Amino acid sequence: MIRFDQVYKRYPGYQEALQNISLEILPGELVFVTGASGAGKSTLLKVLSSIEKPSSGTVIFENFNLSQAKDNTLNKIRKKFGMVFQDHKLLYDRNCYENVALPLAVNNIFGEEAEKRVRAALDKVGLLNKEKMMPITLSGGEQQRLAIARAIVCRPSIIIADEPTGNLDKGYANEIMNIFFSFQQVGVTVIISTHELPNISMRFKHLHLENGQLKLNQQPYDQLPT
Amino acid sequence: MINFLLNHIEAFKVAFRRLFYAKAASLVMFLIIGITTCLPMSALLFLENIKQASSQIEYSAEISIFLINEYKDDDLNTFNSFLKEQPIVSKITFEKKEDAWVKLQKKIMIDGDSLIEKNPLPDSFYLSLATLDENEIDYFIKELKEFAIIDDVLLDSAWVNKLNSILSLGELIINFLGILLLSVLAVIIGNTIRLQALSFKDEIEVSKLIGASNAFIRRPFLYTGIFYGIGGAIVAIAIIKLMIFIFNYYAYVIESILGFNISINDLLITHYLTMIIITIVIGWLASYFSTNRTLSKVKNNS
Repeated sequence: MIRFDQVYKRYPGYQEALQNISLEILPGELVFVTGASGAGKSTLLKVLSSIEKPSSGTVIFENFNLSQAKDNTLNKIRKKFGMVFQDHKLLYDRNCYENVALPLAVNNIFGEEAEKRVRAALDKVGLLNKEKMMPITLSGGEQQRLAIARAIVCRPSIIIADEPTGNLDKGYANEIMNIFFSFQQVGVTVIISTHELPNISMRFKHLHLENGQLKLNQQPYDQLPT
Repeated sequence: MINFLLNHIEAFKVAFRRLFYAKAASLVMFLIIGITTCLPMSALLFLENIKQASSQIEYSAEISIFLINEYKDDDLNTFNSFLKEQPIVSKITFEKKEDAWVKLQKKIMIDGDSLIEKNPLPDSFYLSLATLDENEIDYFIKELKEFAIIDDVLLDSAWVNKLNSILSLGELIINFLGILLLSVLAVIIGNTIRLQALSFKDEIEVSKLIGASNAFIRRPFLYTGIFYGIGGAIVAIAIIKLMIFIFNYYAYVIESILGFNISINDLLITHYLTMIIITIVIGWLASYFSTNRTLSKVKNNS
């Protein structure tokens, strides 16, 4: 479970990126964070995934207070998250297999176990036949699928995706969203930031941000078809 | 423990791959480090050979002993026996005052007339010493002066002191030059690693995002620094060996013309090992600090 309690985030010389955010995300939830550019979506995800510490307030993740955690603890906690970014953040000097294997090395998983997991992750996103290819040779959608494979290879309990379909056309975007939904259906918490809500008939939590403030915190049952 | 080793093997492989991908840049780096290291090493080579050469000529350090005018033959024999027993003395020459007078007259004679009519010279001993150690020589002179037969003792050591001073100065210059060039080396390696780390900014960022510790991110860069050190040391050794080979080849050719050997001796294996260790340590340290700088930059920008 993740809980935000009166969280503020200020960057030196800038306006407050997050103001008085209080929310709760339960295990296995599908969460959409919406808002215009500069609304604070990315900052919220960074604080949530312990990349950034809040300026004030409390962020609790699995009984850890992330606001007060030391760098070493944050590194350990960060390993529990699978991160996907709009610009993929792939390593273009390594092939698909090596890109996906990187988080395993960070987690000290090598050898046959690593091989098995990388292949399973690539298979899950439909890129098993492209493991030796370099990311630059893949299409935008494939690159994002590769980024997802990297995010799931360590079997995280939470997947956080910051505008994962922002640079993709509609066909690819739906494909990527469907991959995320498939993870949510097996119990993984999936948190996705996006400009607009996708048109889906699934339960999800909707958080809407405006100028760093949480304007909407809709619970999953609200979206059930009537 | 196994994970620790596997992590290091992985970092080693990544560092090696980076070197291999940037072959030309790595080669240039090896050359820069090699040539920079080679300069103080060449100076050391020169100094070591000068030292060896000077140790071969130091036996010609001399002491002149002038005897009093009137002495007994027994005293002279006792003194002569004493000199023969001294290990510090390598050669003894005794010159009677009459012989010395003849030599002097030949030197100062003008138009067949001597400028000095009476022989002012005493009987004397000329000793060649087997050491240049000042303390040892001083102690020996004190012992000599205790003999009643001795009037005066002169040590011809000025040139010895000069040579020793020059060698000490040479050592000082080499040490200074070495420190200066090694600092340059640290800056060059550090800057190269910093640029390399910046070119891997994305990788560092991604690694941070997936929870990699600073040590994990730093590791391949540290191995790169070590590789640079080893590569540079190999180039430096190759240059020095080549230099010695070429010099000795020509020295051998002209040896027959000069009539004496001017070939230079190689440095000791300990010199080479020290150099390798120093370049590796510098490579490691420079990489450590420059990667830390980049890591803090990435952290601030994220």
